[in-house]
Amino acid sequence: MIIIFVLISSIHDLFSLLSQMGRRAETIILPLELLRHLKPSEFNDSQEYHLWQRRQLKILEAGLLLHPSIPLDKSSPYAIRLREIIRASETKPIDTGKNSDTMRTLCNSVVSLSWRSANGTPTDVCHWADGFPLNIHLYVSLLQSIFDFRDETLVLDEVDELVELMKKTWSTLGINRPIHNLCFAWVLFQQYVLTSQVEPDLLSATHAMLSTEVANDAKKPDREAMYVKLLSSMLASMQGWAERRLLHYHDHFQRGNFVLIENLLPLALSASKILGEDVTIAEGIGKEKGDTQIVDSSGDRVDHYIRGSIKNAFAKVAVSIRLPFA
Amino acid sequence: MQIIETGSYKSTSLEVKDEASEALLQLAKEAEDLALREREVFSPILKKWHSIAASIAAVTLHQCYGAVLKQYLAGVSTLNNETVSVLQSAGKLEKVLVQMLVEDSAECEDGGKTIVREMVPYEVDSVILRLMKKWIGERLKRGQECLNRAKDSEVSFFNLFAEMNTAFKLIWV
Repeated sequence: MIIIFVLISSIHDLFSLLSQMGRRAETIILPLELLRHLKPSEFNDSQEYHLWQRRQLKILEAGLLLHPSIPLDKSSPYAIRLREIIRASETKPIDTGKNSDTMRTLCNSVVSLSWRSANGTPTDVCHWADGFPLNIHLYVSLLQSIFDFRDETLVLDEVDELVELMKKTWSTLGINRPIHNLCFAWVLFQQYVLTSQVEPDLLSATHAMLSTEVANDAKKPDREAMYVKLLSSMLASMQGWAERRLLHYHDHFQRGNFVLIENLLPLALSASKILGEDVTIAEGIGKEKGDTQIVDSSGDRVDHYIRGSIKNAFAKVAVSIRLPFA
Repeated sequence: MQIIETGSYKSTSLEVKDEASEALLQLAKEAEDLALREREVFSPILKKWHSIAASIAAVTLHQCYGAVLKQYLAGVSTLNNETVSVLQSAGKLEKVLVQMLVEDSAECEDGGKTIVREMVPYEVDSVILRLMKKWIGERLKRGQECLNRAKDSEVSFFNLFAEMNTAFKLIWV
């Protein structure tokens, strides 16, 4: 976590340095700048430098060749050259010196690929890290720095300042407010699971985020395809996780910790509500009736959890006493 | 040989039945425990989201045990002590579950009328009565058979006596 924190602050430093040079953040291709400015002599040994260089090139490969936000023409000469340079760097580091031909070709290819626009018109934002799902992975990793690395169940007091700082990456990563809200809810939920589910506040915070911001965003009519995709996969993941517990609450909860269900149940209900109300409507009525069990109201869902849990608990007892027929 | 085989078959079938009865008795007890745990621990919290949480649990448990009981009774041909105990414990479980439903749903909108419809009674008493009638019928039939057999043997004894009489007559003549 501290590494990410240092990374953000150093990225911030680099951004401010470059903006002093009169360049806006969204026009900076960070891995390329790093490749140009960091010299092998600044590393402990050549192997460390080689690994670091590979990582920068891998990021360019992911953002420009594997997951470009604007579909790529496979026969593009820039793409072919970039691929060649990345392949060449596998065996030994490429020369990044000022007079290097390789470096000139790399800069040309990267700049040409990232300044493309969907319809050929000139653009004022470059695209090197805004393709899905690379952008979401990067942004989620960035968001995880809101947790205290000494006690990872805690959100840092400086969370608001940090988020303000992260907003500077929105244009580069192709993030907007709804995507940010969704990723924020996801990070809180993920942290609850990663920290062995000891901090129910993280679950309440996830629910608070879902039931207000995300629920509102999901209702908006002009949602991008990427947002809808992300919304349904993140929510389905949370809902699935919660429901595995809610449909076996006799196994997962005891007298002492059953109050936890007061955090889990609202989360499952909000996720289901958003998924049921908004996402399926957006995806159209392609599915046949009876294909999926449509449980629309919260009451029906709780009914479903109670019946499910009782049936599972009963089946478990029947197995344990070796009932001759089940 | 045949007698031994039939005898051994009978004893296994008896064992299986006892095992099943034993399991059902235990299952009824476990189901009751589940119901109590539900009522004490889970329902009070779930009630915040569903007004008749305990009733749903009671109805579901009733259905689960009911399905097993039905299967068990399908294999029961005559009334014995074990079957009576199983039916009595089912009756007891049913009472507990009905009580749980009544207490829980009394205050809800329709007074629990909708949910209670999902609880199809086990009708333990009428099952016992039906099995008892069958048992009495069988006993009567067997009594009749015994009587007939006795009559038959009486006849053959009579015949034997007659034959012996004839034989004696032959000797003495």
